[in-house]
Amino acid sequence: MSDRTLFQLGAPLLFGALSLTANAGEITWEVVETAEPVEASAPVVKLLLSADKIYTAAGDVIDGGTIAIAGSKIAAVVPGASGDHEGLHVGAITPGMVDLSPRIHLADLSVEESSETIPYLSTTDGIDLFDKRWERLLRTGVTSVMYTPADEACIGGMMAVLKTGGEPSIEDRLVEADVALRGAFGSHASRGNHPVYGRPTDHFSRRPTTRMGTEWVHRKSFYDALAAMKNEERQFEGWEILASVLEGERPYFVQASATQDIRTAIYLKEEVGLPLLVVDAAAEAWKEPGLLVRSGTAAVLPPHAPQGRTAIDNGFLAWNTAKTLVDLGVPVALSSHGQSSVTGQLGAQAGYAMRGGLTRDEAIAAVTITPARLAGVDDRVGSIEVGKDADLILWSGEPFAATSRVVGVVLNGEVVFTSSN
Amino acid sequence: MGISTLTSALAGALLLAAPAAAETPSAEAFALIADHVAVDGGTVIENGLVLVDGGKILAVGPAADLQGTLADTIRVIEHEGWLTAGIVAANGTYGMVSGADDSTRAFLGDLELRDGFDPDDSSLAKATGAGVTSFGLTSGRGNVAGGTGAVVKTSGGTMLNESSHLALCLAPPALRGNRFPTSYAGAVHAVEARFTEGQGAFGKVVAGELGLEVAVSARHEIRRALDLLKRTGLKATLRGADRAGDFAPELAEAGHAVALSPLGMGTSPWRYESITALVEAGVPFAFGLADTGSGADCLRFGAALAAREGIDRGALWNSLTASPAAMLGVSGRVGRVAAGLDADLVLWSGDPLELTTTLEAVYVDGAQVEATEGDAK
Repeated sequence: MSDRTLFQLGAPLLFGALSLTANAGEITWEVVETAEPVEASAPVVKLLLSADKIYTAAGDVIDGGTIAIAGSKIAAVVPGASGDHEGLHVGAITPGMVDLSPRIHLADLSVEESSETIPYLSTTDGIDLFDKRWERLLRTGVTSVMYTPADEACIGGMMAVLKTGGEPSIEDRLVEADVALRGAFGSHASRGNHPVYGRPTDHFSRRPTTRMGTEWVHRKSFYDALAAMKNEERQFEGWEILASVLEGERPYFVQASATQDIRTAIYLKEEVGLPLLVVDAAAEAWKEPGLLVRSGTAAVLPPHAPQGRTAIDNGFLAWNTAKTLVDLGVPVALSSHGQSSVTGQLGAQAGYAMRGGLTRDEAIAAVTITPARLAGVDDRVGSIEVGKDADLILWSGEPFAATSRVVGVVLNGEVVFTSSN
Repeated sequence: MGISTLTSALAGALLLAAPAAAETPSAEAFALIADHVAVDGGTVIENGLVLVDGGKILAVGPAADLQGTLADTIRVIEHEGWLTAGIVAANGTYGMVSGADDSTRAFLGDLELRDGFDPDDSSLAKATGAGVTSFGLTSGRGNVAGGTGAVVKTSGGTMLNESSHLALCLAPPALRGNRFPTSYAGAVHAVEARFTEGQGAFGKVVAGELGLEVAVSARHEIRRALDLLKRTGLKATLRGADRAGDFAPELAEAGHAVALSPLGMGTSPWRYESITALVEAGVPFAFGLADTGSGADCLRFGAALAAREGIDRGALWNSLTASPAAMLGVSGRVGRVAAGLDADLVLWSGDPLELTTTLEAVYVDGAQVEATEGDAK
């Protein structure tokens, strides 16, 4: 098999030294010294980005490297080269961040409250892509999110992963639909309900009004689904979605912040058999690390709070929570949980987690490849690898350092934001 | 008004599709001669004549061509000013004396709104007095499916279409906290299921027997409605979609229409930009009265304000007449000054898209209606 040129560079005279070749189907990238003619049909590299450091989140850090982008994808990651072309050169490049709990929703209108179990609803049917917060996320380096509804239902519908920029339509921004089922423990799922005195007055006259009621609804729903899987006559609207969670085809993402709620979620996982459980807003996971390890549960942490108390059920998030869990092998993703203040943003959370003991590589993973894996979209986003979406953050210096800032964001191969020096 | 003002001879050749001479006017027939006869937004006949008989327009053309063909006995009314078709409001709830929303449940698509319509309600006379002679009778925004609408006249109780469209609302207050559905996702799911199952009025919409009106407001609501319509393969009039200009090319391609809320003195500049985008993309648009507390005269005054902003005057006049008639499926009856259509006509002191112009007379089904625009009664 002869070598062939995979793509032609946007400006061969300038970038000829970066011609890339593939051999016998196995892609190996090398620097070619001469600017040879290239095939017209090859994809065109439209952007070259180099940095002092490239944190790929795919197992290595490249000291001085260049990323070539063709179309919306990463076409090459080449070590060694830097600063000798007219592309952008920055301090560091990381993958775009993935926020599994962005909370850009329309409050009560984003969640159906007339029933406590609505697995069959698509939460993206309640989305507002014209909200200014999407652009703010993008500018701060968050390029993909899992769309989360307000957690006012026990089982709150199917969630999708979306890009934070592009045309304001699901069609344009969708990475993958129906990636996970939403659930909630804690106080939110029962808030507003009241018992029936005499005649029921509205749909809030119902279970649950307490945490035990919330757990009861979850258990009943999954036991009903188990029954439906065996008996056609027991089927109900949305049973097949619960069945897919029971069979491990998609994860169950539940909000559970306080220790007791995290325990409840994990006991449910072990009781009915939920292969993939991710606890969102898991502030107090540090109190029960053994349970997470035993059950194979992953955690999405809410933003660090100055005094430790988070906004979700007052869950106390210790500074070393991420460190404690990562050291035990628990998959940990950091999240903004909808906070848009400078200290609440996702990038800041990575910095705080480093203060709590995570290495920079671990912190980067916790905002990129780990959340991408938990959402099942790591084939598209979450790391800097050839063939993946070119979603990148350009940093002035070391990522997440207090003295560093985001100087540019690349989304789907396009530079969507640059800050002037 | 008028993109093109035709010469008398050319207009006569074009517009005499039903030659006046061929049909013999009855004893009740009469002719209106006006300095300007606006056939529609695109055509104005100078010194035009409209022959009315039996409630219908018998002929339209330059007076110079038509007058000689008329018998001496026919009554001729001469008007110094403009003669136009009656204004058609894309939607309204006038005459719904016991309320335009039945609050018992969110899905009431099979309610016939005409059953709640009182043709003698005083609000109708006021609308006629503003030159509005027909409107799409529709529900409020209180229910996801508010009922099956009709197309009615503001005078005489004439129903142009007793069952014209299914009125949906995918926005608050149809979504509210004390009943199903409380959320956008819940409403979309329930509406889509009904279209899929083909229940009642929903089934008639799918079968093409009923039109579809979807009330929305915010851009995300428009976006959501467009996605739902795309999935279900349906065309609709988006009611209250004042941000529709942001979606103009997509609306044009999908074949949707827009019923805007009226413009007013305090209207934000983006609304004019949005309308300009609709005009440029060729999206049919009109103005409605169902979502405003202003009187019916706000339709014409709002369009006059838009004309002052430089928006195409022909398109604006069509948005008050021919476009809503087409959107409501009654363009064979009203919306233009053309032979064969109902004689719903308005005499104005000048160009109706000028703020200084006043209404001088209204005819519905060929009968003059007592009407004084804007004055206290």
